[in-house]
Amino acid sequence: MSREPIRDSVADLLADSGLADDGVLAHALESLRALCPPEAPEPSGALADLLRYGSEAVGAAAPSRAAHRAAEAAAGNLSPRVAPAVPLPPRKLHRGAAISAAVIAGVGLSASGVAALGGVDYSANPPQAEVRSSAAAPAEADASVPGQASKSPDATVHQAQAFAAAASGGSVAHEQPAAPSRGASDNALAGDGAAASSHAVAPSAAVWRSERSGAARAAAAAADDALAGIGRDDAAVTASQGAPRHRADSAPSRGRHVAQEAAAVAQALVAAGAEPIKEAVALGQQVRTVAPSLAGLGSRH
Amino acid sequence: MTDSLTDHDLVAGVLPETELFSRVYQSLAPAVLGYVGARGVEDPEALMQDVFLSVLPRIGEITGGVAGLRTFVFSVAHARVVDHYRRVERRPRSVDYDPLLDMRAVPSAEAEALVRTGQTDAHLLIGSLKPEQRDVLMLRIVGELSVDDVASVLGKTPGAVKQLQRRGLKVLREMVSEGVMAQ
Repeated sequence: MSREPIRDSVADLLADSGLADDGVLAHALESLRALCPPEAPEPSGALADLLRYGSEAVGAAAPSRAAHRAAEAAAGNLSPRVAPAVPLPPRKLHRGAAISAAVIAGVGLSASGVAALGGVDYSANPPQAEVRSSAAAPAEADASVPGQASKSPDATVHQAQAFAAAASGGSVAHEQPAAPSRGASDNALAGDGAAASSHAVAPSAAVWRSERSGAARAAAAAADDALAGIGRDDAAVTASQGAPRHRADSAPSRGRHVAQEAAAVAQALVAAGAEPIKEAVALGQQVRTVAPSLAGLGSRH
Repeated sequence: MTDSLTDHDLVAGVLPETELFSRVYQSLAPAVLGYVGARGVEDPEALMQDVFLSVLPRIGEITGGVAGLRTFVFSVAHARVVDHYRRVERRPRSVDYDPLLDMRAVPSAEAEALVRTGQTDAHLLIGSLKPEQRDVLMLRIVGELSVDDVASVLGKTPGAVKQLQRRGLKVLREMVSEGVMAQ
Protein backbone atom coordinates (compact mmCIF):
# COMPACT_ATOMS: atom_id res chain seq x y z
CA MET A 1 0.00 0.00 0.00
CA SER A 2 1.46 3.33 -0.99
CA ARG A 3 1.63 6.09 1.61
CA GLU A 4 1.57 8.97 -0.81
CA PRO A 5 -2.19 9.01 -1.30
CA ILE A 6 -2.76 9.37 2.43
CA ARG A 7 -0.31 12.25 2.58
CA ASP A 8 -2.08 13.86 -0.33
CA SER A 9 -5.46 13.38 1.26
CA VAL A 10 -4.18 14.86 4.52
CA ALA A 11 -2.79 17.86 2.68
CA ASP A 12 -6.10 18.35 0.88
CA LEU A 13 -8.00 18.04 4.12
CA LEU A 14 -5.85 20.61 5.88
CA ALA A 15 -6.00 22.93 2.91
CA ASP A 16 -9.80 22.73 2.88
CA SER A 17 -9.92 23.72 6.52
CA GLY A 18 -7.29 26.45 6.24
CA LEU A 19 -4.74 24.53 8.32
CA ALA A 20 -2.22 23.75 5.62
CA ASP A 21 0.63 25.17 7.69
CA ASP A 22 -0.13 23.11 10.78
CA GLY A 23 2.67 20.54 10.66
CA VAL A 24 1.85 18.97 14.01
CA LEU A 25 -1.73 18.30 13.05
CA ALA A 26 -0.62 16.96 9.68
CA HIS A 27 1.69 14.56 11.44
CA ALA A 28 -1.12 13.43 13.72
CA LEU A 29 -3.43 12.84 10.79
CA GLU A 30 -0.82 10.89 8.92
CA SER A 31 -0.60 8.60 11.88
CA LEU A 32 -4.10 7.44 11.05
CA ARG A 33 -2.62 5.27 8.36
CA ALA A 34 -1.72 2.89 11.10
CA LEU A 35 -5.38 1.91 11.13
CA CYS A 36 -5.05 0.46 7.65
CA PRO A 37 -3.09 -2.76 7.25
CA PRO A 38 -0.28 -2.56 4.71
CA GLU A 39 -1.73 -5.41 2.69
CA ALA A 40 -5.17 -6.77 2.16
CA PRO A 41 -5.86 -9.79 4.35
CA GLU A 42 -6.18 -13.12 2.66
CA PRO A 43 -9.79 -13.73 1.68
CA SER A 44 -11.52 -16.67 3.16
CA GLY A 45 -14.65 -18.65 2.65
CA ALA A 46 -17.11 -17.35 0.09
CA LEU A 47 -14.99 -14.36 -0.84
CA ALA A 48 -12.06 -16.58 -1.64
CA ASP A 49 -14.29 -18.63 -3.94
CA LEU A 50 -15.53 -15.49 -5.59
CA LEU A 51 -12.03 -14.20 -6.23
CA ARG A 52 -10.89 -17.55 -7.49
CA TYR A 53 -13.83 -18.54 -9.69
CA GLY A 54 -15.49 -15.27 -10.47
CA SER A 55 -19.21 -14.63 -10.47
CA GLU A 56 -19.84 -18.25 -11.40
CA ALA A 57 -19.31 -19.01 -7.73
CA VAL A 58 -21.83 -16.43 -6.59
CA GLY A 59 -24.45 -19.10 -6.06
CA ALA A 60 -22.29 -20.63 -3.38
CA ALA A 61 -20.96 -17.32 -2.08
CA ALA A 62 -23.98 -15.12 -1.63
CA PRO A 63 -23.50 -12.09 0.60
CA SER A 64 -25.54 -11.59 3.70
CA ARG A 65 -28.98 -10.04 3.41
CA ALA A 66 -27.74 -6.89 5.12
CA ALA A 67 -24.88 -6.54 2.66
CA HIS A 68 -27.21 -7.16 -0.25
CA ARG A 69 -29.61 -4.50 1.05
CA ALA A 70 -26.76 -2.07 1.57
CA ALA A 71 -25.50 -2.64 -1.96
CA GLU A 72 -28.98 -2.13 -3.37
CA ALA A 73 -29.41 1.10 -1.45
CA ALA A 74 -25.99 2.40 -2.44
CA ALA A 75 -26.58 1.56 -6.08
CA GLY A 76 -29.90 3.35 -5.95
CA ASN A 77 -28.43 6.43 -4.31
CA LEU A 78 -25.39 6.68 -6.53
CA SER A 79 -27.04 5.92 -9.85
CA PRO A 80 -27.54 9.00 -12.01
CA ARG A 81 -30.98 10.50 -12.07
CA VAL A 82 -32.55 9.90 -15.46
CA ALA A 83 -35.61 11.75 -16.66
CA PRO A 84 -38.62 9.49 -17.18
CA ALA A 85 -38.81 8.15 -20.72
CA VAL A 86 -42.62 8.39 -20.80
CA PRO A 87 -43.76 11.96 -20.19
CA LEU A 88 -46.63 12.57 -17.83
CA PRO A 89 -50.05 13.24 -19.39
CA PRO A 90 -51.11 16.91 -19.50
CA ARG A 91 -53.77 16.42 -16.86
CA LYS A 92 -51.10 15.31 -14.44
CA LEU A 93 -48.71 18.04 -15.47
CA HIS A 94 -51.33 20.76 -14.87
CA ARG A 95 -53.02 19.15 -11.91
CA GLY A 96 -51.68 21.79 -9.54
CA ALA A 97 -52.90 24.65 -11.70
CA ALA A 98 -56.35 23.08 -12.02
CA ILE A 99 -56.66 22.57 -8.29
CA SER A 100 -55.53 26.15 -7.67
CA ALA A 101 -58.09 27.55 -10.10
CA ALA A 102 -60.86 25.50 -8.49
CA VAL A 103 -59.90 26.70 -5.02
CA ILE A 104 -59.78 30.34 -6.13
CA ALA A 105 -63.17 30.03 -7.82
CA GLY A 106 -64.68 28.46 -4.73
CA VAL A 107 -63.34 31.15 -2.45
CA GLY A 108 -64.60 33.85 -4.80
CA LEU A 109 -68.08 32.38 -4.96
CA SER A 110 -68.19 32.02 -1.19
CA ALA A 111 -67.13 35.62 -0.64
CA SER A 112 -69.64 36.95 -3.12
CA GLY A 113 -72.37 34.84 -1.56
CA VAL A 114 -71.64 36.16 1.89
CA ALA A 115 -71.59 39.70 0.56
CA ALA A 116 -74.93 39.15 -1.15
CA LEU A 117 -76.53 37.83 2.03
CA GLY A 118 -75.16 40.36 4.47
CA GLY A 119 -74.61 43.41 2.35
CA VAL A 120 -76.65 46.48 1.49
CA ASP A 121 -80.43 46.31 1.70
CA TYR A 122 -81.88 47.69 -1.49
CA SER A 123 -85.51 47.27 -0.48
CA ALA A 124 -85.80 51.04 -0.06
CA ASN A 125 -85.13 51.60 -3.72
CA PRO A 126 -88.15 53.48 -5.10
CA PRO A 127 -88.39 51.59 -8.42
CA GLN A 128 -88.43 48.29 -6.62
CA ALA A 129 -91.05 49.65 -4.23
CA GLU A 130 -93.23 50.53 -7.19
CA VAL A 131 -92.88 47.05 -8.58
CA ARG A 132 -93.74 45.55 -5.23
CA SER A 133 -96.79 47.80 -4.93
CA SER A 134 -98.02 46.80 -8.30
CA ALA A 135 -97.35 43.16 -7.57
CA ALA A 136 -99.09 43.29 -4.21
CA ALA A 137 -102.37 44.49 -5.67
CA PRO A 138 -102.62 43.31 -9.24
CA ALA A 139 -106.36 42.75 -9.08
CA GLU A 140 -107.00 46.19 -7.71
CA ALA A 141 -104.76 47.77 -10.29
CA ASP A 142 -106.53 45.92 -13.06
CA ALA A 143 -109.87 46.97 -11.69
CA SER A 144 -108.88 50.62 -11.63
CA VAL A 145 -107.48 52.78 -14.36
CA PRO A 146 -105.06 50.89 -16.63
CA GLY A 147 -101.44 51.92 -16.12
CA GLN A 148 -102.05 53.20 -12.65
CA ALA A 149 -99.57 50.76 -11.16
CA SER A 150 -96.76 52.73 -12.71
CA LYS A 151 -97.71 55.91 -10.89
CA SER A 152 -95.70 57.10 -7.94
CA PRO A 153 -97.07 56.43 -4.44
CA ASP A 154 -97.53 60.11 -3.74
CA ALA A 155 -99.54 60.55 -6.89
CA THR A 156 -101.64 57.58 -5.88
CA VAL A 157 -102.37 59.09 -2.51
CA HIS A 158 -103.26 62.39 -4.07
CA GLN A 159 -105.47 60.55 -6.48
CA ALA A 160 -107.18 58.88 -3.56
CA GLN A 161 -107.71 62.27 -1.99
CA ALA A 162 -109.17 63.54 -5.22
CA PHE A 163 -111.53 60.59 -5.38
CA ALA A 164 -112.55 61.23 -1.81
CA ALA A 165 -113.17 64.89 -2.53
CA ALA A 166 -115.18 64.03 -5.60
CA ALA A 167 -117.22 61.55 -3.67
CA SER A 168 -117.96 64.11 -1.00
CA GLY A 169 -118.96 66.71 -3.59
CA GLY A 170 -115.95 69.00 -3.15
CA SER A 171 -113.68 70.13 -5.93
CA VAL A 172 -110.04 69.24 -5.89
CA ALA A 173 -107.80 70.86 -8.42
CA HIS A 174 -105.57 68.08 -9.72
CA GLU A 175 -103.89 67.15 -12.87
CA GLN A 176 -105.29 63.65 -12.64
CA PRO A 177 -108.81 63.09 -13.87
CA ALA A 178 -109.68 62.24 -10.31
CA ALA A 179 -113.06 63.95 -10.13
CA PRO A 180 -115.40 61.65 -11.85
CA SER A 181 -118.99 62.53 -12.26
CA ARG A 182 -121.84 60.35 -11.29
CA GLY A 183 -121.94 58.96 -14.76
CA ALA A 184 -118.24 58.20 -14.72
CA SER A 185 -118.64 56.39 -11.47
CA ASP A 186 -121.46 54.48 -12.89
CA ASN A 187 -119.38 53.61 -15.90
CA ALA A 188 -116.59 52.45 -13.64
CA LEU A 189 -119.07 50.39 -11.75
CA ALA A 190 -120.48 49.06 -14.95
CA GLY A 191 -117.04 47.95 -15.99
CA ASP A 192 -116.69 45.80 -12.92
CA GLY A 193 -118.26 42.37 -12.81
CA ALA A 194 -119.07 42.79 -9.18
CA ALA A 195 -120.70 46.11 -9.88
CA ALA A 196 -123.17 44.46 -12.21
CA SER A 197 -124.45 42.42 -9.37
CA SER A 198 -124.56 45.53 -7.17
CA HIS A 199 -126.86 47.12 -9.71
CA ALA A 200 -129.19 44.22 -9.33
CA VAL A 201 -129.40 44.83 -5.57
CA ALA A 202 -128.69 48.53 -5.66
CA PRO A 203 -129.11 50.52 -2.46
CA SER A 204 -130.69 53.85 -2.50
CA ALA A 205 -128.62 56.62 -4.09
CA ALA A 206 -128.36 58.74 -0.95
CA VAL A 207 -127.25 55.85 1.21
CA TRP A 208 -124.82 54.63 -1.37
CA ARG A 209 -123.36 58.12 -1.85
CA SER A 210 -123.02 58.78 1.85
CA GLU A 211 -121.42 55.40 2.46
CA ARG A 212 -119.06 55.84 -0.43
CA SER A 213 -118.09 59.34 0.54
CA GLY A 214 -117.46 58.24 4.11
CA ALA A 215 -115.27 55.37 3.00
CA ALA A 216 -113.39 57.65 0.68
CA ARG A 217 -112.82 60.16 3.42
CA ALA A 218 -111.57 57.40 5.70
CA ALA A 219 -109.21 56.16 3.03
CA ALA A 220 -107.98 59.67 2.43
CA ALA A 221 -107.50 60.21 6.15
CA ALA A 222 -105.57 56.94 6.36
CA ALA A 223 -103.41 58.03 3.47
CA ASP A 224 -102.78 61.37 5.16
CA ASP A 225 -101.82 59.59 8.36
CA ALA A 226 -99.49 57.31 6.44
CA LEU A 227 -97.84 60.29 4.82
CA ALA A 228 -97.53 61.99 8.18
CA GLY A 229 -95.96 58.83 9.63
CA ILE A 230 -93.57 58.70 6.72
CA GLY A 231 -92.62 62.26 7.41
CA ARG A 232 -92.02 61.47 11.05
CA ASP A 233 -89.91 58.43 10.09
CA ASP A 234 -87.75 60.47 7.82
CA ALA A 235 -87.38 63.22 10.37
CA ALA A 236 -86.46 60.75 13.11
CA VAL A 237 -83.96 58.98 10.96
CA THR A 238 -82.42 62.21 9.79
CA ALA A 239 -82.21 63.54 13.32
CA SER A 240 -80.73 60.38 14.82
CA GLN A 241 -78.10 59.80 12.14
CA GLY A 242 -75.58 62.15 10.74
CA ALA A 243 -75.03 60.06 7.67
CA PRO A 244 -77.49 57.62 6.13
CA ARG A 245 -76.93 54.00 6.98
CA HIS A 246 -77.90 51.06 4.93
CA ARG A 247 -79.50 48.77 7.45
CA ALA A 248 -80.78 51.29 9.99
CA ASP A 249 -83.37 52.88 7.72
CA SER A 250 -84.95 49.61 6.71
CA ALA A 251 -87.78 49.77 9.25
CA PRO A 252 -89.03 53.27 8.33
CA SER A 253 -88.75 52.40 4.69
CA ARG A 254 -90.74 49.28 5.25
CA GLY A 255 -93.39 51.24 7.12
CA ARG A 256 -93.46 53.70 4.31
CA HIS A 257 -94.03 50.99 1.78
CA VAL A 258 -96.78 49.41 3.81
CA ALA A 259 -98.50 52.73 4.07
CA GLN A 260 -98.11 53.35 0.37
CA GLU A 261 -99.48 49.96 -0.48
CA ALA A 262 -102.41 50.47 1.83
CA ALA A 263 -103.11 53.81 0.27
CA ALA A 264 -102.92 52.28 -3.17
CA VAL A 265 -105.36 49.56 -2.18
CA ALA A 266 -107.72 52.08 -0.68
CA GLN A 267 -107.53 54.23 -3.76
CA ALA A 268 -108.23 51.28 -5.97
CA LEU A 269 -111.22 50.29 -3.93
CA VAL A 270 -112.58 53.80 -3.93
CA ALA A 271 -112.04 54.09 -7.66
CA ALA A 272 -113.81 50.85 -8.33
CA GLY A 273 -116.68 51.65 -6.02
CA ALA A 274 -116.87 48.02 -5.14
CA GLU A 275 -118.71 46.54 -2.28
CA PRO A 276 -115.92 45.94 0.23
CA ILE A 277 -115.55 49.60 0.96
CA LYS A 278 -115.77 48.78 4.60
CA GLU A 279 -112.69 46.69 4.24
CA ALA A 280 -110.91 49.69 2.83
CA VAL A 281 -112.05 51.69 5.83
CA ALA A 282 -110.75 49.01 8.14
CA LEU A 283 -107.51 48.87 6.25
CA GLY A 284 -107.16 52.60 6.56
CA GLN A 285 -107.75 52.32 10.29
CA GLN A 286 -105.07 49.64 10.50
CA VAL A 287 -102.67 51.81 8.63
CA ARG A 288 -103.43 54.62 11.03
CA THR A 289 -102.58 52.41 13.98
CA VAL A 290 -99.52 50.81 12.43
CA ALA A 291 -97.86 53.93 11.10
CA PRO A 292 -96.91 55.43 14.51
CA SER A 293 -95.42 52.13 15.70
CA LEU A 294 -93.40 51.83 12.53
CA ALA A 295 -92.27 55.39 12.98
CA GLY A 296 -91.14 54.56 16.50
CA LEU A 297 -89.36 51.46 15.26
CA GLY A 298 -87.52 53.48 12.67
CA SER A 299 -86.52 56.08 15.18
CA ARG A 300 -85.07 53.37 17.46
CA HIS A 301 -82.90 52.09 14.62
CA MET B 1 -3.75 1.87 -2.27
CA THR B 2 -5.43 2.15 -5.64
CA ASP B 3 -2.28 2.78 -7.55
CA SER B 4 -2.67 -0.50 -9.30
CA LEU B 5 -6.27 0.17 -10.26
CA THR B 6 -7.18 2.53 -13.08
CA ASP B 7 -10.35 3.58 -14.80
CA HIS B 8 -9.24 1.59 -17.83
CA ASP B 9 -9.17 -1.56 -15.77
CA LEU B 10 -12.84 -1.15 -14.90
CA VAL B 11 -13.95 -1.09 -18.51
CA ALA B 12 -15.81 -4.26 -19.29
CA GLY B 13 -13.72 -6.87 -21.08
CA VAL B 14 -10.33 -5.30 -20.44
CA LEU B 15 -9.46 -7.64 -17.62
CA PRO B 16 -10.72 -11.11 -16.88
CA GLU B 17 -13.31 -11.13 -14.16
CA THR B 18 -11.24 -12.97 -11.59
CA GLU B 19 -8.28 -10.69 -12.12
CA LEU B 20 -10.46 -7.60 -11.91
CA PHE B 21 -11.99 -8.84 -8.68
CA SER B 22 -8.59 -9.54 -7.19
CA ARG B 23 -7.23 -6.16 -8.19
CA VAL B 24 -10.20 -4.34 -6.75
CA TYR B 25 -9.97 -6.32 -3.57
CA GLN B 26 -6.25 -5.79 -3.15
CA SER B 27 -6.64 -2.08 -3.80
CA LEU B 28 -9.59 -1.24 -1.57
CA ALA B 29 -9.64 -3.90 1.15
CA PRO B 30 -7.00 -2.25 3.41
CA ALA B 31 -8.87 1.08 3.41
CA VAL B 32 -12.20 -0.60 4.04
CA LEU B 33 -10.69 -2.66 6.83
CA GLY B 34 -9.20 0.46 8.39
CA TYR B 35 -12.47 2.31 8.20
CA VAL B 36 -14.48 -0.55 9.69
CA GLY B 37 -11.85 -1.08 12.37
CA ALA B 38 -11.88 2.60 13.29
CA ARG B 39 -15.60 2.33 13.88
CA GLY B 40 -14.96 -0.28 16.54
CA VAL B 41 -16.65 -3.24 14.90
CA GLU B 42 -15.85 -6.48 16.74
CA ASP B 43 -14.91 -8.49 13.69
CA PRO B 44 -13.88 -5.95 11.07
CA GLU B 45 -12.38 -8.50 8.72
CA ALA B 46 -15.60 -10.51 8.43
CA LEU B 47 -17.55 -7.35 7.81
CA MET B 48 -15.06 -6.23 5.17
CA GLN B 49 -15.33 -9.55 3.37
CA ASP B 50 -19.12 -9.32 3.43
CA VAL B 51 -18.86 -5.88 1.86
CA PHE B 52 -16.77 -7.19 -1.01
CA LEU B 53 -19.06 -10.16 -1.45
CA SER B 54 -21.87 -7.78 -2.28
CA VAL B 55 -19.77 -5.24 -4.21
CA LEU B 56 -17.73 -7.37 -6.58
CA PRO B 57 -20.65 -8.94 -8.49
CA ARG B 58 -21.96 -5.40 -9.13
CA ILE B 59 -18.82 -3.91 -10.58
CA GLY B 60 -20.33 -3.92 -14.05
CA GLU B 61 -23.20 -1.65 -12.89
CA ILE B 62 -20.98 1.00 -11.32
CA THR B 63 -20.24 4.21 -13.19
CA GLY B 64 -17.68 6.90 -12.55
CA GLY B 65 -14.47 4.89 -12.79
CA VAL B 66 -12.29 4.33 -9.75
CA ALA B 67 -13.78 7.28 -7.88
CA GLY B 68 -17.29 5.95 -8.41
CA LEU B 69 -16.21 2.49 -7.34
CA ARG B 70 -14.56 3.88 -4.21
CA THR B 71 -17.68 5.86 -3.29
CA PHE B 72 -19.84 2.79 -3.87
CA VAL B 73 -17.62 0.54 -1.76
CA PHE B 74 -17.51 2.93 1.16
CA SER B 75 -21.25 3.54 0.92
CA VAL B 76 -21.83 -0.17 1.35
CA ALA B 77 -19.26 -0.35 4.15
CA HIS B 78 -20.83 2.55 6.01
CA ALA B 79 -24.29 1.05 5.67
CA ARG B 80 -23.02 -2.28 6.96
CA VAL B 81 -21.41 -0.63 9.97
CA VAL B 82 -24.59 1.24 10.80
CA ASP B 83 -26.57 -1.96 10.40
CA HIS B 84 -24.12 -3.79 12.61
CA TYR B 85 -24.52 -1.34 15.46
CA ARG B 86 -28.28 -1.34 15.12
CA ARG B 87 -28.31 -5.08 15.40
CA VAL B 88 -26.00 -5.01 18.41
CA GLU B 89 -28.18 -2.46 20.18
CA ARG B 90 -31.31 -4.44 19.42
CA ARG B 91 -29.95 -7.75 20.58
CA PRO B 92 -27.86 -7.61 23.74
CA ARG B 93 -24.93 -9.95 23.49
CA SER B 94 -24.91 -12.91 25.86
CA VAL B 95 -21.56 -14.56 26.53
CA ASP B 96 -20.30 -16.96 29.10
CA TYR B 97 -18.66 -15.50 32.15
CA ASP B 98 -14.95 -14.98 31.83
CA PRO B 99 -13.07 -13.52 34.78
CA LEU B 100 -10.64 -11.88 32.43
CA LEU B 101 -13.50 -9.97 30.75
CA ASP B 102 -15.13 -8.85 33.97
CA MET B 103 -15.04 -5.08 33.74
CA ARG B 104 -15.94 -4.68 37.40
CA ALA B 105 -12.45 -5.74 38.32
CA VAL B 106 -10.03 -2.88 38.70
CA PRO B 107 -7.00 -3.41 36.47
CA SER B 108 -3.64 -3.25 37.93
CA ALA B 109 -1.15 -0.57 37.00
CA GLU B 110 0.86 -3.11 35.07
CA ALA B 111 -2.13 -4.22 33.00
CA GLU B 112 -3.10 -0.66 32.34
CA ALA B 113 0.36 0.16 31.09
CA LEU B 114 0.27 -2.84 28.79
CA VAL B 115 -3.07 -1.77 27.35
CA ARG B 116 -1.82 1.74 26.74
CA THR B 117 1.26 0.58 24.98
CA GLY B 118 -0.90 -1.61 22.77
CA GLN B 119 -2.96 1.36 21.65
CA THR B 120 -1.67 3.43 18.82
CA ASP B 121 -1.77 7.17 18.59
CA ALA B 122 -4.34 6.81 15.84
CA HIS B 123 -6.71 4.93 18.11
CA LEU B 124 -6.38 7.56 20.80
CA LEU B 125 -6.99 10.33 18.32
CA ILE B 126 -9.93 8.71 16.63
CA GLY B 127 -11.44 7.66 19.94
CA SER B 128 -11.59 11.25 21.07
CA LEU B 129 -13.87 12.25 18.21
CA LYS B 130 -17.60 12.02 17.98
CA PRO B 131 -18.90 9.28 15.68
CA GLU B 132 -19.90 11.62 12.86
CA GLN B 133 -16.62 13.52 13.03
CA ARG B 134 -14.81 10.20 13.01
CA ASP B 135 -16.71 9.07 9.93
CA VAL B 136 -15.89 12.22 8.04
CA LEU B 137 -12.20 12.25 8.85
CA MET B 138 -11.76 8.56 8.17
CA LEU B 139 -13.55 8.72 4.84
CA ARG B 140 -11.56 11.80 3.86
CA ILE B 141 -8.16 10.45 4.92
CA VAL B 142 -8.35 6.68 4.69
CA GLY B 143 -11.01 6.43 2.03
CA GLU B 144 -9.56 9.36 0.05
CA LEU B 145 -13.01 10.64 -0.76
CA SER B 146 -13.85 14.23 -1.61
CA VAL B 147 -16.26 16.30 0.42
CA ASP B 148 -19.06 15.67 -2.04
CA ASP B 149 -18.39 11.93 -2.03
CA VAL B 150 -18.37 11.86 1.76
CA ALA B 151 -21.66 13.77 1.77
CA SER B 152 -23.09 11.20 -0.63
CA VAL B 153 -21.91 8.30 1.50
CA LEU B 154 -23.19 9.74 4.77
CA GLY B 155 -26.37 11.19 3.32
CA LYS B 156 -25.52 14.73 4.36
CA THR B 157 -24.95 18.01 2.60
CA PRO B 158 -21.43 19.10 1.69
CA GLY B 159 -21.78 22.03 4.07
CA ALA B 160 -22.57 19.70 6.94
CA VAL B 161 -19.58 17.53 6.04
CA LYS B 162 -17.27 20.55 6.04
CA GLN B 163 -18.61 21.63 9.41
CA LEU B 164 -18.03 18.17 10.90
CA GLN B 165 -14.57 18.10 9.38
CA ARG B 166 -13.70 21.50 10.83
CA ARG B 167 -14.88 20.55 14.30
CA GLY B 168 -13.08 17.20 14.18
CA LEU B 169 -9.83 18.86 13.23
CA LYS B 170 -10.29 21.36 16.04
CA VAL B 171 -10.68 18.54 18.56
CA LEU B 172 -7.62 16.77 17.17
CA ARG B 173 -5.64 19.98 17.33
CA GLU B 174 -6.51 20.39 20.99
CA MET B 175 -5.56 16.79 21.67
CA VAL B 176 -2.24 17.23 19.96
CA SER B 177 -1.50 20.44 21.83
CA GLU B 178 -2.30 18.70 25.15
CA GLY B 179 0.41 16.16 24.48
CA VAL B 180 -1.62 13.05 23.74
CA MET B 181 0.78 12.28 20.96
CA ALA B 182 3.64 12.24 23.47
CA GLN B 183 2.54 8.80 24.62
